[in-house]
Amino acid sequence: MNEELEIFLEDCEDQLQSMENALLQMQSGVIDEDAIGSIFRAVHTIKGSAGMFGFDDIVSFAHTGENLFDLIRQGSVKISPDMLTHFLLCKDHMEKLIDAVVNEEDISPQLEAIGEKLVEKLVTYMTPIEEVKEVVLNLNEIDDTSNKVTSLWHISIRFSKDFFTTGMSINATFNFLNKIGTIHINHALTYAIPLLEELLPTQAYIGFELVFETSSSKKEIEEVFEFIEDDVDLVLFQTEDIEAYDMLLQKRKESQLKDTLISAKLALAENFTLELQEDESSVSSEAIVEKEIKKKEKKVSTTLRVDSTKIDVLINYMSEIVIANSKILSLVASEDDKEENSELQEAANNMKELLEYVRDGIMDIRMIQVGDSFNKFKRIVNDTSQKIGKDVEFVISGEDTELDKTVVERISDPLVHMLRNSIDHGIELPAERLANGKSAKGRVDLRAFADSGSIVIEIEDDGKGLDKTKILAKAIENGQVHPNANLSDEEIFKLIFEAGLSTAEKVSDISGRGVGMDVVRRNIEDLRGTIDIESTLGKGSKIIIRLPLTLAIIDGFLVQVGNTKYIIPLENIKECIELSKTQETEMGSNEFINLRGEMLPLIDVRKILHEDKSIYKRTNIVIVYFGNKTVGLIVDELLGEYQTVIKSLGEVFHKISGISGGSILGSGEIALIFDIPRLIELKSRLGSDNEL
Amino acid sequence: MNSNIADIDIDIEDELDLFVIGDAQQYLFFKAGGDIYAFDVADVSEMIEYQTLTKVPMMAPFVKGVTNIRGSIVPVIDLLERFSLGQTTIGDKTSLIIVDNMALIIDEVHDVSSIVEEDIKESLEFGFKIAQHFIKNMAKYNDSYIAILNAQEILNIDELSILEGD
Repeated sequence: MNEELEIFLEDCEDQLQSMENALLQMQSGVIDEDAIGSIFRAVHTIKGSAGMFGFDDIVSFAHTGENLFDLIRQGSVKISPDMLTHFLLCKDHMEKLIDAVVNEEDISPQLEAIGEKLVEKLVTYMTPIEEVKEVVLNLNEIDDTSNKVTSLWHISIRFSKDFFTTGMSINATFNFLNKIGTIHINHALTYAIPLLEELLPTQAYIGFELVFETSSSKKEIEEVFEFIEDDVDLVLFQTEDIEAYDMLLQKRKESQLKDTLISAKLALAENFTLELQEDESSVSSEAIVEKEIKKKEKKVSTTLRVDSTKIDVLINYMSEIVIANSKILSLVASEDDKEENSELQEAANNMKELLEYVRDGIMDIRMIQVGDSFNKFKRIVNDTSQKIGKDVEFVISGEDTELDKTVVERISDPLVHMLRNSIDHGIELPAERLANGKSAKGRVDLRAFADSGSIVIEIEDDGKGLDKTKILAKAIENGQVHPNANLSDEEIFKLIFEAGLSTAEKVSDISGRGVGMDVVRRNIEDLRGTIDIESTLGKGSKIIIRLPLTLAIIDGFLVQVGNTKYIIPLENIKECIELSKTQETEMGSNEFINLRGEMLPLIDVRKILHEDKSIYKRTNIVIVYFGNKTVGLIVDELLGEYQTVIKSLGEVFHKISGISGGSILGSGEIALIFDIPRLIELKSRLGSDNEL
Repeated sequence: MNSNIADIDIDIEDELDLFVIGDAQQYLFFKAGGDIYAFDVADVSEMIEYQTLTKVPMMAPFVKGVTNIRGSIVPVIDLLERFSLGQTTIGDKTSLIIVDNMALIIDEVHDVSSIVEEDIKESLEFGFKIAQHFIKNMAKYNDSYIAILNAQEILNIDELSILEGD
């Protein structure tokens, strides 16, 4: 796909999303001017961009929608719920059309047929009907839906020298103008074209002066040029505005322009009262200039679209730099003559600090707000609940929480699945809810927030909750749980993430399709996240997902256990202590110590990882936490903080839990990175099986 | 020993060029547990000296750990243990051959040479000391039959990723 098309696609996606948001807002009962306005703008912009590319199918479809919304905006058509549902279908259709043209596919006959039906229905919403039909037919002629009086405009166009490199065509611009009005006189200015030997064929020298008749407003004409505004110098005024001709000359500063305009009948000689003077600056021309500047300022966006692979490349290099710098630091630190090297050391430390800033900055580029992604779920919730006759209020909070782009993308499907589950299995039918003393309308909450170095996403519903006995019975039946096993509530709920454990009496086409809960868990674990579930029978369920802020680099703490070095993510570490002799004696064969009056369970890493007996005299404890669990890890030696790049250990090791990857140290050695949440889980599982 | 391996490296390159012209397939011959085995050179991407590795806990005994090969983390597998023929003793000539982004520990690299098609035979259904599915073909090499190994089977992810005790 070329760059222009990509921008077009992204633009359309944005517009479609804001259209959908507005439609859903209206569906929930809030019908205001803002919502209608934003839909109108979205349709209009898509039509505009599609027109620039000559995607006529999209233009004509969008055109009908635009007209209807124009009528709605003026108050001559009232919105009905039926219409809103239809609009959503139209939005979907538009999406499909865009997909097709962007992928350079032909519009299939089926799609065309759907489009025609949708348009037919759209047209019926417009009154009076005759007038509307005319609009659809006379797409290429003057737009007269709103019965506005047409007026004549003078349009003066100059293209920037490298206009052709933008991939836009001059023709498309005219085609598009023709769609909103009629060009009466089109005079090409050729006097700027140099002699053949000086002519660069890749540059645009040509300019145009037109007389254009349309019912559209100035703004609408300007929007024709929206897509190429940076490469086109436009002067636009109504032909009756006689003073404007002088200003045009002032602005263009082209000696032949006046005569050309007169001879092409674009202007009358008496329109010009001033002689062109280089340094003359009348108040009015200043005004134009000022206006132009203002327009420019307003349009300059502070955002920059960057291909995310470029950032990935940068992150990869950054990772290598981080590794290289760790090596420098360790070399500097190992130098014997500390005195002499103090400057070197200072420089190295300074470098380290700066690198941290750069790294954070790069990582920050990848962070996006979850809001856009969450808003897409509104539609899914809406469709799902309508389909199965449930009334659901969907509440999103924490839209501005930021998360790595990759994480946001990869969390989307699992979230959709869980939301569908909540509605399908969680929320009861309105009658059942009323019978149980609940309000007929169910509620599903989707929240995101930051919590101690990780991001938490919660899905909470006020439905019927999980039935412990049912789940347990099914798990025992499947042989996944021993009949005599004594499981906590939490452990029982977690069983729903095991493969093949669906307690739904009937598989509906809503949660029955796509991924299962076991795949959901797998996806989240692949992102180094965890998933937990809380539920009260009759009251509802809450799924809690914890995700790391970022995937590529972590701040870690290097420790030695046996012959192997391990890295513990700093975000999980509470403190490090030394296991004192008294504590050791007190502990006996138990695996916990009394830490300042609190019981602290311990994990002997050496034991759990089958390392040989320690040769170290001192025993250290790294106290780690995740969520509400705190444990102490018994390790041999503390080696200090370490910034590190997570590398995957590869497929061979994908079943290991408790280790999330490896990292190459400055010395070339590989250190394994602990996955604290999984390690705690592993320990409690092994512990309950009495294997250790 | 360094020069030893470097020589072979160059050999492979040269012989590969030759191979394009000739019609006999090229093989890498090496020793593991005293016996000679072979890999199709197309399966082997690199040979290096044995180097320190980092143990990864919980894995099956033949998965020895991981090692750093030019900034990539590569799993290390003891070929002899994979064949259930005991553990390779690490010595001066111990090498790692890289097949499909995994490092196999072997005793020593022996030779790179070609085998003509007539000398390649179907593997026996039984009677050889390593399991039949690890063998692609048998081949006559210096008047005795040796096994040409099946890299896909030896490095089958499902089997390699089994955890200890599973």
